[in-house]
Amino acid sequence: MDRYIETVINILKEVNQYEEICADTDLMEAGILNSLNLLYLIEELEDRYQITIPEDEVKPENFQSVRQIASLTDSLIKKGNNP
Amino acid sequence: MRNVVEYLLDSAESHPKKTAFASAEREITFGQLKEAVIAVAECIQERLKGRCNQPVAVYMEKSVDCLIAMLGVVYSGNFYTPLDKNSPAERTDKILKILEPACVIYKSQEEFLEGDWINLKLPQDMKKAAYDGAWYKKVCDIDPVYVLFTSGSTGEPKGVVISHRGVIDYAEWLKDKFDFNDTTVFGNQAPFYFDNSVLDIYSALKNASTMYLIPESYFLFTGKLAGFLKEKEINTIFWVPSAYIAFSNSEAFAEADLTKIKQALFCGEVMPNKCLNLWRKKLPDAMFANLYGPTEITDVCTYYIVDREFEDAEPLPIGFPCENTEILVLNEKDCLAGTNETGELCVKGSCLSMGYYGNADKSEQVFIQNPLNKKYAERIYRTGDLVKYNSYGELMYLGRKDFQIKHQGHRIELGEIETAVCAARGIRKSCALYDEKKKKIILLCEGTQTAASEKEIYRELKRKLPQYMLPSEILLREELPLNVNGKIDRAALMREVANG
Repeated sequence: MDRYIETVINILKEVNQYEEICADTDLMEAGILNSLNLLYLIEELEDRYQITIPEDEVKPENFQSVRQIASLTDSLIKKGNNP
Repeated sequence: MRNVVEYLLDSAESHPKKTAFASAEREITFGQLKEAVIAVAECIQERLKGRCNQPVAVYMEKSVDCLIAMLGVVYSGNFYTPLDKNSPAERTDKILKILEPACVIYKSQEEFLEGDWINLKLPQDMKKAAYDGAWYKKVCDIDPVYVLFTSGSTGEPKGVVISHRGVIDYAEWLKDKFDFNDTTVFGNQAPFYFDNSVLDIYSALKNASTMYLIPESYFLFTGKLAGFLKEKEINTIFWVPSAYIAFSNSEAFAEADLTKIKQALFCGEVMPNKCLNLWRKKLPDAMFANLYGPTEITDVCTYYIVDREFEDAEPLPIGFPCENTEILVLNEKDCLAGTNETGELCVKGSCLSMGYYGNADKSEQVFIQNPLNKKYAERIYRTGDLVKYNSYGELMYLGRKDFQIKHQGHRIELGEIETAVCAARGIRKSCALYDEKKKKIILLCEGTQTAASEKEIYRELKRKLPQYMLPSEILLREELPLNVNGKIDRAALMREVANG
């Protein structure tokens, strides 16, 4: 899981180079996620991990913090390996 | 009709059981809203002891309660300023220092602001006032109903004062033009500190329409937006173009059932036809309208109802003056510009703000005597927007004559960003630029050897500026180029930045 946390933080840092981003930073409150960033983040994760993030999983509960995004990624990868 | 709160009173009489405002959490009918508003007004007057025409700040989360507080202020015979909870404390302090409110209304402990004013906690239970003093009757139609703060180029936000007359005139024009009535269902996007919300709020009150508050996160997680629009049967939207763009760029848009939407209006920044065409294709039967206007003229002063095809790259007109409004396009000689001649868009009418709160200097610069009228006092407002009439007689927006930009739907004076960075260690000069193409704010700084780093500068800016004003790129230089006038050569820097 830590691996995913690091990747997510790195992707977010690509579009927010000066923000302090930790695993539990509230991304919406800090304004780190906006519509462009979110699309980019989803594209990158799908690309790097060969997963598809379904539309109905793109909700605040899964994207509040880096930890939650990492957790979503983890569960989608596991699902992918056990269809 | 002298006071906007009369809209509420009329609708409470004609449609007492109809939902007025609703959020994801709760709803309130016109009848209940009236009672709650009077109760809040009573609380305010208990503290103000009969004083009217006082500024009252509202520091609350965007919610039905926030609306009750704002209208309660109006009923109490005073005027409100909604504060942005996401603004850093330093900026909120600046606003409060200018406004000097008699009272600040809050709801939760985290919204409590220490200061030289009466702090009023919104009561839990606002069912009925013990005494209805109808204090709103004491004010005139030219008295203020709200003061909204906008970005100031010298670092001081400017408080735009708008009167009841301005809002009443606007609400009447809106009803005539768009036929808002009690079957209209609004899906509000604009925060209350942004004057686009004036259309939603006061049209709902005047026409006994229902207004839903769309949660901000839904414009990010657009799957929820589609569901919300359909479930609440929203048929009228007035959003900033960035919101339209965010939705149409997302996957949820294609699947969304938006058939209920009949009127889609937008204002606040340029609407690219590329995005509009996606929406027109999705909603072939809906009416689309481009509304234009700075905060200084009660939201909107020109409109263009889309009535023909446009290529993706073509610009969309801002159209024609609203009724009871005059638009003067003045060229450099202060004469009326001819067809296809560029000039500054100036506005005349009841929509004009009374000026900037506590700032006569700034007000005098832009609210001026009409140079075409030498006979009697006639105010016009210089918008700073450069426009021209095309051969159809439609107004076309060309750009700014200064350094104000629109970014993600927000109005920003680049000077406000430049001023904020001055406090950073070792920074002598700075220049904020806007890359229109990439939609990015770039900040160039000239500093000493021991000057603050990019990260430290960013942290400093975060303490002073709201998120949407923060630059995506900070470039430190030993020296910034100067032009022949000894000022920073912005053009040269723009070229440099554009070339990557």
